[in-house]
Amino acid sequence: MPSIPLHLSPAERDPQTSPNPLPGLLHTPSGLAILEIQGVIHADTAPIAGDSNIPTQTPIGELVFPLYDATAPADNTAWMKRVYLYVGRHQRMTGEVRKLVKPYGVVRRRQGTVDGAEELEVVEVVLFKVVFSSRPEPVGDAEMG
Amino acid sequence: MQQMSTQDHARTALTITAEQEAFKLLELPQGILDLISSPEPPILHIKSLDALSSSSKPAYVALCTKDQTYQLRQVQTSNSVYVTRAAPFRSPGSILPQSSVSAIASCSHTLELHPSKDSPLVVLRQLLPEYREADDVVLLNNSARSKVEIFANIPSSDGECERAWGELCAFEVEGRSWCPSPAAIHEAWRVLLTAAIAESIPLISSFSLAKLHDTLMDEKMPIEFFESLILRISTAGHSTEELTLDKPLTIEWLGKVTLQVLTETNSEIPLSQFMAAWREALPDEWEQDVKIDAIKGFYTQPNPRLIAVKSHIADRTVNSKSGKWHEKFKARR
Repeated sequence: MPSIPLHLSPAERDPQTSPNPLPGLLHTPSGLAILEIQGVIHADTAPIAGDSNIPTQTPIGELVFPLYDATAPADNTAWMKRVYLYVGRHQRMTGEVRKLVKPYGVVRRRQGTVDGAEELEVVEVVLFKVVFSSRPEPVGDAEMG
Repeated sequence: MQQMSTQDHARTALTITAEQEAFKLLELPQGILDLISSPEPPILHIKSLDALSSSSKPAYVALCTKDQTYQLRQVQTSNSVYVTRAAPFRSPGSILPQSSVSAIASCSHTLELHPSKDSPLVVLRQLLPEYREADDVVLLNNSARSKVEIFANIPSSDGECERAWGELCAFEVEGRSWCPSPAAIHEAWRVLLTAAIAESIPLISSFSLAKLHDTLMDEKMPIEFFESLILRISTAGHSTEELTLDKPLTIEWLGKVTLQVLTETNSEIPLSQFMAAWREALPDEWEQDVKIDAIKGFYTQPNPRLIAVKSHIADRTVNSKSGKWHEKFKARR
């Protein structure tokens, strides 16, 4: 196998098409983040009616950072200890935001290389991940608010 | 839903995108992070052992910087790991798209990087055809490959490959690479030393590589080979106009080469015979400085009067595989 080049920065950054709704600490230039779930998302890929600029997305649930306050000082990280993922109306997973011991480089094949040779690139470096390591627990409608 | 989204940054819809992308997650050690944040990040290379090499070592893949090697290991993730991206999303029943976090790729494994200090010496030795005498370059040239091509197929950084290359006195002639046998090295050194004495080139003080070139131009062995010998034992960092042989290094290296050559037929030889041959191989001025300790760890003594190459070193350097191939090739002609 010939050696495969790995570029440490992307040829071009994908433009962010949407404001990043995550807490600022989890923002990256490209808007990429990492989410870890115990279990698998079985997505029903039925397309949602909409304009063609919006990729086909299937809703999973809602991600909530109950302790996060956007106006609090940046060094206040207590909010990282609790994240909820609500799935459907009656299930909730509890997780947290963790700093990665070793950051992840998100790597993909570089597009448009000379004569299609295989080249890779690090598109982003991610320092944190949102982890849900426990099983979902049942919740009532009232708790959603 | 509407009421919830008024609280900025506190909550967001999570979706999964139907067209999943192919991403890999690579754990980044500090050394690689430093390169990423450097003003001009270098291009790294993912290399693996040449599939054509007959090495029995399990294939492994490495990520290489200019002079460092990391072994790449694929690790299965116990949880599902998703790469997400901020994306506009129109939830059922709402008119305006809102921001969501959408899973755009799932990664069933991550890649770990482990710094590797393994020298590519053994692998390089196996990939290079052996050069035993002047005719080899002519007779065996169809199978030899260029240095660049060989380095591309060794899972080690170019810096480490280059050091191993120098250590083996490997050389490239017209885009083809060779690793000289101990006997070839011994003979070339003899020729070089004789020529230097005849032309009064002071190898033990300061000499010019260009001058040595002129002297050796008419020899049968390639000039690149002589050059690899000189660079192997010269003081590093000097210009090629003012080279000096590194005395302790030259004594040690010639001791090892001489012992390998003398033990090619008989694995054990008389110590006195070896010491005499070792002294003879050196410039006259250094003869008296030969001490067996200079090759400590390289030899073994079955009894006080005999000497042999230590077994694990013999296994590494004798390279029976390449030798057999060499024989077969010659026999076929």
